[in-house]
Amino acid sequence: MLLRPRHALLALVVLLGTTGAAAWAQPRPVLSITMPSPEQVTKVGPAVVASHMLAGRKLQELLSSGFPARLHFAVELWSVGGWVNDLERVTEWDVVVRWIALENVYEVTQIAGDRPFSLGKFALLSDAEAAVGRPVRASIVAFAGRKRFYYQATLAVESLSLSDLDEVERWLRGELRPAVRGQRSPGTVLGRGVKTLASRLLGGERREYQQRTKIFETVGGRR
Amino acid sequence: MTRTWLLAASILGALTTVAGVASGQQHDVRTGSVVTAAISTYNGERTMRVTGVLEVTADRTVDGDVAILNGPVTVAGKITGSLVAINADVRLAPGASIGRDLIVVGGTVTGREGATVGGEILHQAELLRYHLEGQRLVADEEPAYDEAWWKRRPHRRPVRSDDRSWRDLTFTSAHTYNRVEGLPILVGPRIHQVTDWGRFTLDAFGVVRTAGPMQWDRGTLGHDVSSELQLGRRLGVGIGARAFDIVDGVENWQMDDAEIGLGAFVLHRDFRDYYRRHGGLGFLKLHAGRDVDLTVSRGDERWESARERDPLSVVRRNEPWRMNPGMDEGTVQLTSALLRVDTRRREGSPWGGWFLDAEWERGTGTLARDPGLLAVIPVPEDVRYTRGFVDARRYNRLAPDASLNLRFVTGGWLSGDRLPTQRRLSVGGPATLPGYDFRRAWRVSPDVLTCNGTVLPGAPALCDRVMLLQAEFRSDFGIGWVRDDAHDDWWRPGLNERASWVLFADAGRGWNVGAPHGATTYSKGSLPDFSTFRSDVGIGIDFGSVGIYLAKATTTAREPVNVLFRAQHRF
Repeated sequence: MLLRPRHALLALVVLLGTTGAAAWAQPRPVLSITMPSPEQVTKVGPAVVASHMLAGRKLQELLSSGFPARLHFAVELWSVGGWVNDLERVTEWDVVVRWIALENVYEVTQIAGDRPFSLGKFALLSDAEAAVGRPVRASIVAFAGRKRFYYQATLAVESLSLSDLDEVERWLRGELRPAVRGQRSPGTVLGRGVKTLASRLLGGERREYQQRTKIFETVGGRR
Repeated sequence: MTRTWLLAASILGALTTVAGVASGQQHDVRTGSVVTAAISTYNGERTMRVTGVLEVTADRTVDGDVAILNGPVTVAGKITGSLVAINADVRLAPGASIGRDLIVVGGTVTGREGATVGGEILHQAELLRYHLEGQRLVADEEPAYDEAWWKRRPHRRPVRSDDRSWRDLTFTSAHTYNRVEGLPILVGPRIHQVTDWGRFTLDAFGVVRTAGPMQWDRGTLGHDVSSELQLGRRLGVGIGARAFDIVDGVENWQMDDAEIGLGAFVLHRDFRDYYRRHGGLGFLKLHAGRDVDLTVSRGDERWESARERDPLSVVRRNEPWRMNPGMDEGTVQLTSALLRVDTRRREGSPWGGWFLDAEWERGTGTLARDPGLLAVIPVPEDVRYTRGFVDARRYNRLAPDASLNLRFVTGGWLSGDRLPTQRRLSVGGPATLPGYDFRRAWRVSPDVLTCNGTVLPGAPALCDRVMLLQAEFRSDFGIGWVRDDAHDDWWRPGLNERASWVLFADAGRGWNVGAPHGATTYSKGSLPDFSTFRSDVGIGIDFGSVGIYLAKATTTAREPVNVLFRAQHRF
């Protein structure tokens, strides 16, 4: 099929417009990092917000299938150098979201420094998503000195660690038992399970977001 | 003291309330004062405390202060006192009434326009970490950032399977595939018991090798049983033992099991040689966290050659497999020390840190050397040798999206008799010198890659020593043409990492130790000149779990450009 250039351009515009409209139909996951005020840059770290992170049909399917969603946050403080930049400080934490079938709730837990901290149990996924999206103040701070810095925030969202086969085994045990007892079609469960597992093993459900602040300066004495 | 503090906070709160009643406006107050006011109200003696969802319906009136943890809270009715929401969202319906302050920490407020708030609205967006001491809520102090590198180690996993006790009967693959075993299946019980003083582990696996022909013999069946008692959690010592009848790889350092398996199963190319090990060992292990451990072991085992069999592969199914070379056979007593250091981190950012594998091994025993092309029956001989091996890597992050990674590998004969074939080395191939084909050194003369191993059946590695230097610069593309994480509803097999482009260069060679002879044999105290090393350069795209590279040998003009697919990072 041949198209005149003018028609092709028109078709492209329509296609892009349609795609754009579809993209607006659902909220997009957004990672943001906000600097403190200039007077506070040597006293507090940046605030990190992860919004709409549980949006997406596949991730929600995985959650309801018993795969916990894991959100790994890393915030790095970099200083700007001539040729290369220096990684000065790093802080990391995790947020784990899992479906507790017995209670019909999503449990949201933040884990920082190997210490779990409950952000609550929620009947609605939207409430769990709101808990995930609460702003967190990173515990790293730029130090005084004649240096230029920037923060880099990275968020990796995955439904299950590939290496964590125990989770797969736990899922298989939990998912197949009802089917064996006749509460669910074994074929459906197996089909869904194989599809979900294949999706995980092939790495289709890992998303990554990055945000960087503008370069800022600190003044004053050495740290 | 506590009562005085509470009184002062209450007075401060009351004063704030009085000042704010007239305005009822939202204030972005200093973080500390919002948290103080929230905690003070939460801990008030008459405050109604709720954890989880709370809904105050339109026909309901709650007397006094209300405090919510986690929430959310929906107010359509009336609260006569203050409402405190900690890590909770507040939704105000039209007509909702809050008699005094609305204090929100770590949450949002919606519906403010149609509601009445008698006092101030104090709001802190950031999450509050706290703990409960009985009914009393106490804010956690922010940990001061510690500059000490040994305390800065990031945790890698939120939940680790080795942090809890479990036991099961497992049925799993060995996560590899090769021309000797096919897909090895492991069946047996596992016990993992964590206690206050350490942990105890037992893995007792029977091994079933699926490569045909499957028979009721040692070619098909084997075992691998190991147990360890570890004292101490982060710092400690472990003592253990292992009994095995397994097929093990020669030069396991080059590629990992998964990539070897993928190459064998899909491409019919097995980039490793194998031999049989049957025996047992005991070991003592010192460990410092998950990053550093030193293992000293002593074992007694029998070594045998393992012949290639006929496992399935996706392509070239009708072609013969590369012959698995003959190995030295006999019994050996092995004493070894293995130091492992791994300070790399790979959670949401490129690698950064150190990796070190350093191994020392002393072997004594009686071995019948593989005769190679000679038509003789090998005679067992006493053997005593010492071998060392070092794989040191530094992963340098130059910027959030750029890194320069360096690797230095050397190892081989240190003293004693000639090394067994199982312990010899080579370079060349996808993982070491990708500009040169794996075990096809006919264009390289003299053969400093396998030390003339390619003239023997199966092309075994025959070098007494090797040295390899690798460097690569990698950087993100910085554009989203490969992936768009704003939408996750599309199929993205294998491309679960951000793509980066890679520039690399490698140089390395092997040599034998003895009376200096030609370009392949050097005395034990000397090193080959760097100009004799084989080198290559290349470029590639790395998707994390899949990469494609072009590599060209620079020291051998006749070597064509090699196109390589890797199922892991280069190193």
